[in-house]
Amino acid sequence: MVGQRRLRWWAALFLAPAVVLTAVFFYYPMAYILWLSMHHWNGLSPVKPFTGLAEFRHLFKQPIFGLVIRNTAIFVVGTVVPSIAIGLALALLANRRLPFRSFLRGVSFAPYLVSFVSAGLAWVWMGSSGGLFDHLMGFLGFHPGNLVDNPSYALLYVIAMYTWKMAGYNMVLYLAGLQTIPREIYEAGAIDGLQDGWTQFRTITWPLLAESTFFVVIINLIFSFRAFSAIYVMTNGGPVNSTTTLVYYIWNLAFVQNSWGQAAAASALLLIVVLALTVGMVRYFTKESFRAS
Amino acid sequence: MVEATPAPKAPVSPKRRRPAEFWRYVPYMVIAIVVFGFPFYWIIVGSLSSNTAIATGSIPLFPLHPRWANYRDAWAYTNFARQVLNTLIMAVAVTASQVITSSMAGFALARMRFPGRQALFIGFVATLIIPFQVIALPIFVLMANLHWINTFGALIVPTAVNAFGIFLYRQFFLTIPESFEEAAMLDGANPWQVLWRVYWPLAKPATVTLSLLTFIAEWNSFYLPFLFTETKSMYTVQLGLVAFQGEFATVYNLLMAATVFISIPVFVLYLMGQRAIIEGIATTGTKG
Amino acid sequence: MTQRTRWLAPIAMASLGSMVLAGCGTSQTAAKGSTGPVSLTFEEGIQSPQTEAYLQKQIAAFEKSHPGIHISMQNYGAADSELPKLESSVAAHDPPNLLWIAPAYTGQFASSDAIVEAQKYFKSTNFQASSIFPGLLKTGEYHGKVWTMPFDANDLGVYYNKKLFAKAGITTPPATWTQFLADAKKLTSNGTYGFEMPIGNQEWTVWIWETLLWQAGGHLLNSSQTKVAFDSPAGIKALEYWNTLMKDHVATFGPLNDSYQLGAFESGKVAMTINGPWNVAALQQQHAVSYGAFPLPKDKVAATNIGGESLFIFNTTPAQDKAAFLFAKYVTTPAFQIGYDTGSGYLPVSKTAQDSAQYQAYLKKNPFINVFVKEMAVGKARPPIPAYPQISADIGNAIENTLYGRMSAAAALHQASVQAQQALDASS
Repeated sequence: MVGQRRLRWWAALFLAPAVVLTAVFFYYPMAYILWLSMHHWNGLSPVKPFTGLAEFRHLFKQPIFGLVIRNTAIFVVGTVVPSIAIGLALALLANRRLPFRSFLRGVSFAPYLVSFVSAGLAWVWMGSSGGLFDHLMGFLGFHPGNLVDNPSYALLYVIAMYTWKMAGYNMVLYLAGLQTIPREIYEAGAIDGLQDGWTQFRTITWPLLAESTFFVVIINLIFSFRAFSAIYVMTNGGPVNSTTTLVYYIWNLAFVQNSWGQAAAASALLLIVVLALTVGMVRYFTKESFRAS
Repeated sequence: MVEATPAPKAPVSPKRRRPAEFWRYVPYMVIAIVVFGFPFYWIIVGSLSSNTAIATGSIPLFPLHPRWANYRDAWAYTNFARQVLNTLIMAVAVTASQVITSSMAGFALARMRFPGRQALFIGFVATLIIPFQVIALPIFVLMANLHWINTFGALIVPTAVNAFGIFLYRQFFLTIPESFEEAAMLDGANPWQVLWRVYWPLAKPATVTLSLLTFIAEWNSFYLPFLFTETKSMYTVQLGLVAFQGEFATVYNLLMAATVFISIPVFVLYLMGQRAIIEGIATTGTKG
Repeated sequence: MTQRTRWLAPIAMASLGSMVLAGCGTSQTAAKGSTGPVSLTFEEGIQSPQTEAYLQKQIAAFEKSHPGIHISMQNYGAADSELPKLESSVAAHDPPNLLWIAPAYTGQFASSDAIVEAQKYFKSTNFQASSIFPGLLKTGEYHGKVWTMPFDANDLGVYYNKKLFAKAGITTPPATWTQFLADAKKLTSNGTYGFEMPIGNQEWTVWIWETLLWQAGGHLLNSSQTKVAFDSPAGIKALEYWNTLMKDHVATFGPLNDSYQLGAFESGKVAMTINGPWNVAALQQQHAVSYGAFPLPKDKVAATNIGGESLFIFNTTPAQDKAAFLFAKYVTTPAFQIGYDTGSGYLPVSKTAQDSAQYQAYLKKNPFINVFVKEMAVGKARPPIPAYPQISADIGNAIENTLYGRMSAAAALHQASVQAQQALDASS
């Protein structure tokens, strides 16, 4: 038998690779970002003078900073809400004993499997002038032309593509949640007179899915905040910066404008937002009585 | 009135009600399948279209004269073979590393008692919410200082550990009865042997799930290789696709052909390991 | 625990480590010694495989005439949108000895001591700087010294669709802005536009727009390069001219940030587009459009934007730096230039090469290229100052803001000039 002390050495050994890699590639970078956000650096120079909060001030004064925040908010809310709603609807549909339901599951999950680069390129083509969507909307007497080149539609179009890609993923998460609900609860509900589908959903299904929803919301928020490839491939943040979100802006500040200090400040900002959202969400969901009794 | 209808009207519907329910939901099914499935069909049609059809936007709904040569041309225009090889090296190495680091850490967290265990677990899981883009700049600087930019080191090492995998193995190992471990220990095995000879083989479902999800994520990954590579000889498939767009932005038939053959491996893996993938996502949520 | 298993753990750890580290850190194994053979790395972004093959052949010839120097070439394959990252990445890791890239980046690399001043080798290697077109040499200057060496040259002109011109009854190509607008109107009919407007806030759009700024009599910077100067009546006029083409519906936007692609021109959807001489091979391969080229129309003056690539020599060892310069010198020789240019459509960097009988015969056969060669006489170049990339990005935003109707030309240029001035001040 291995003694307690020796066991600790074994534990340390088992944990060493993961701990070292996590420290080097997650915790050190986070600390470095906070440090760099208070220094001026052009990415090339050997010196990084301390500038206090000046990088944040410069960042806030950028003419497009307000637009970037607005785009980020629209993108995150605009992708999270519909992709969850559609995902839930798909899950409810695919959970019924209908013919072709496994085909439905497969088809709606397929977009999640392809890369954002592939999906983005395909949607650029479908949204080009004379492309699929141009034709379809033509039937409605509306000719939007090239969707990704139009500052009024580009962000909405990227959101649509993103929603198409993520809804099936949310469906899978919700299907797992639905399968934990015992059928007897519906039967009992039916006896209590809860018979039509909507009432059943509102009084039984939705409350019992609270835990799934909590999880789905957090995961989707995290995914949406980090969306980069789709925007890079579809619009390069344009036109007129109309699709530049915080993550895209960070890359632009660092690698295009060589303002690494400001890029670090923007990264720190994003870090704070993501952390605050997660903590706030955890608090909210644990305080309210969302769980079914 | 209420007593008169004892039969429950629930999703568990008796057989005789199926036709009614079917007709009620069939429109939704059709809409969902068209919305999610049609783009795939359209991508394939586009990949088989002629240049003229693409340029004029007059693509027939059914490709009566498919141009298979598009696939040959798209493959020939870029160095996809090299990019596939690079991606395979990256994906296999990352997958293997994650399986090893995750099962070791997951085992320690599930089966060993030591101070700070809970804090460590939270420390791992917390990394799941950090967007890679936030920490990418410091990692870029680190890779540059190590002279790892444009090498496999930069493509593999930063993602050699993943909290998702640690979580997955921990959960799995927690479900294995302690008697297995005790029996092995009595035979004189040390924890290292217990892990690899007893626990790891039992955790095959977790290994399959983690491997498939990691491999797919690596195959599809863009931002990390985008930042950490420089020359074409180090490109991965997704970078190759973006470079292809840079040269042939409006030659959509070739672009769609390239998109199709780049996505095939992912679908093959999905069809092979559908259950493991779906269950992996459903039980643990994320793979980012 | 047995003795045997005590050994197992460290071995397993080591093998894990070595597996993880496999393939790491062996990117550059160039000989760093100052004596003996010198190995150089050379990174380029040439798109055409034929041109790359020619270059490979020339490298072999160079190695033969310079025993002891070995050059290995790699393609970085960057499109316009990837160039900014390339520059960070090149600066961040062991840079190549030689980098083929636009000379506009000279100031940025020179100011951070990443590259070697080329001029310091001119005397010792007996390099005749006067053989290079002076305007071209200037594109690689920083603080009055030549830092980067011209590799190839190009400029901008207008491609036109001969059939559409004949159909519209236009016999001589437009020479002024006014004629260009009028002809664009004549060329526009159902589904066909007179002109393809470059769009996007990246360098391609800005590079073209700068020619209009100059044609209208404007400047990017003042003569001492301390103040930005594009927020001027000439700048506003240039931007409003483009706006007019869009508002009159005689122009259509090209692909966002990728307007250098010829899809719309080759399918006959646009009658005119601005582009360079390097597409000659691609144009010869397509048979849908009979094409020609004419010089950019003038306003107050005629002007085009000189482009092309230069060789940047990165700071390594004295022996490598010098060997790298020898290759840069070799590239400027007529023997190299003639073969390279007649194969690729790029323009020669030296008068000797341009005047050679062989190149003149090539021009006679390719009047299309001749248009661009002649235009070099009115060529201007972007100032290779460290802040140029940021100034360009600011102008790009102004162009987008105006052409998408978000701001007036005056307001957009004013906002851009405030930003650009800040970047200029911060870099000096």
